[in-house]
Amino acid sequence: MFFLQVSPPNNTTYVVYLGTFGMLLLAVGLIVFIVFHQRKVIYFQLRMKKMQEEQQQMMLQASIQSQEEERQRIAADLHDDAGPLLATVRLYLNENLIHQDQGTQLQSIYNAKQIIDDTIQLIRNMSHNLIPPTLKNFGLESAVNDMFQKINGSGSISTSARFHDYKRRLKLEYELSIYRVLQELINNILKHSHSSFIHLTQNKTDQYIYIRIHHDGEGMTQTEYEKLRDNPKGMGLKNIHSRIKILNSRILFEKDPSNTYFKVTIEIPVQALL
Amino acid sequence: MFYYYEEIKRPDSFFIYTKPEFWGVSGIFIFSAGTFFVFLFRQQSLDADKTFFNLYVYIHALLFIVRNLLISVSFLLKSKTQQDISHI
Repeated sequence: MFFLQVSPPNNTTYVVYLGTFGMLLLAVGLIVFIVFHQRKVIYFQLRMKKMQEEQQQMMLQASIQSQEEERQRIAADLHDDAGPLLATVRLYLNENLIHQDQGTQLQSIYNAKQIIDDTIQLIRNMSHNLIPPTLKNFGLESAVNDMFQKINGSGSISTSARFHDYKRRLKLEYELSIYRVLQELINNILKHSHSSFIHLTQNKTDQYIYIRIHHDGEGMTQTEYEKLRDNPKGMGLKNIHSRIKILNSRILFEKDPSNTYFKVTIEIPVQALL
Repeated sequence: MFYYYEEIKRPDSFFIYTKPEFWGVSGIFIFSAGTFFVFLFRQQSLDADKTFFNLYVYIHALLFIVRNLLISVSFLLKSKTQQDISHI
């Protein structure tokens, strides 16, 4: 019966009406906001995860492809160079050799020996390409100096390297990765930049090792590097990126403020590599 | 509100409305927010004002139903999650 009794609403009733409505609106609004906000955050995270996965996939593909290319190169070297040389040796040392006169025998043996020496040299060169012996035995500084000496020998470009503080060697696998990155960078400079000199410096602080390459040719900036790296065609830059990632390091491509030089700086954390 | 704050601070990979506790907390939150004013003025107006009494009963009943419904959804989701886990 109470429900049917109607009396004119007073101020308190209005306050309660409006207050309740406002509070409900606030509560529901807050819940809706939280639901949408959380959805947005989750979708953003999912998108980031997907992008990371795609990038990893691309890196993996690049590393597999470079491995395959390396294998093909070795196979081609063995097949095209070592194969014919050994086949020629076989021809010199065939069964008929014993039926021939002593002079011809000696000449054949001498020729075979020459070819075997060439083959040994060829195989040695191939193995040096796989891991430079200077790097293995004497470290990064010597290997870089050795590489620069060979480039200088061509006479078309002047190169110099200066290691200011590299008394303690890093682990061989890290040195090899740094060397490969430097090799790729130098290779790119030689191929694309048309520069007249390349200068490499190494410095060290308590936390980082810095390796910087200067050259006066046509270089690229960080934005261009990132753009080219994400291009599916560019293999070398992807390899640089994946090696830099393994080293837990950073690479920075810059143009000198004077607009005369291009700089590439590699920042390697010391603690991660010892 | 602390629950919502924690959910925003540490978002995981599950949507918030798939969690049973979200529905329970939301039911209690809506009930508390909606009945705040009626409870606030209850003492001074309930006996004197019949209109307010009606309003009090309606709002309280409505929000009570909403709260219980949301808590039921929470229990339903909870049992569904447990079933899914026991299947694994």
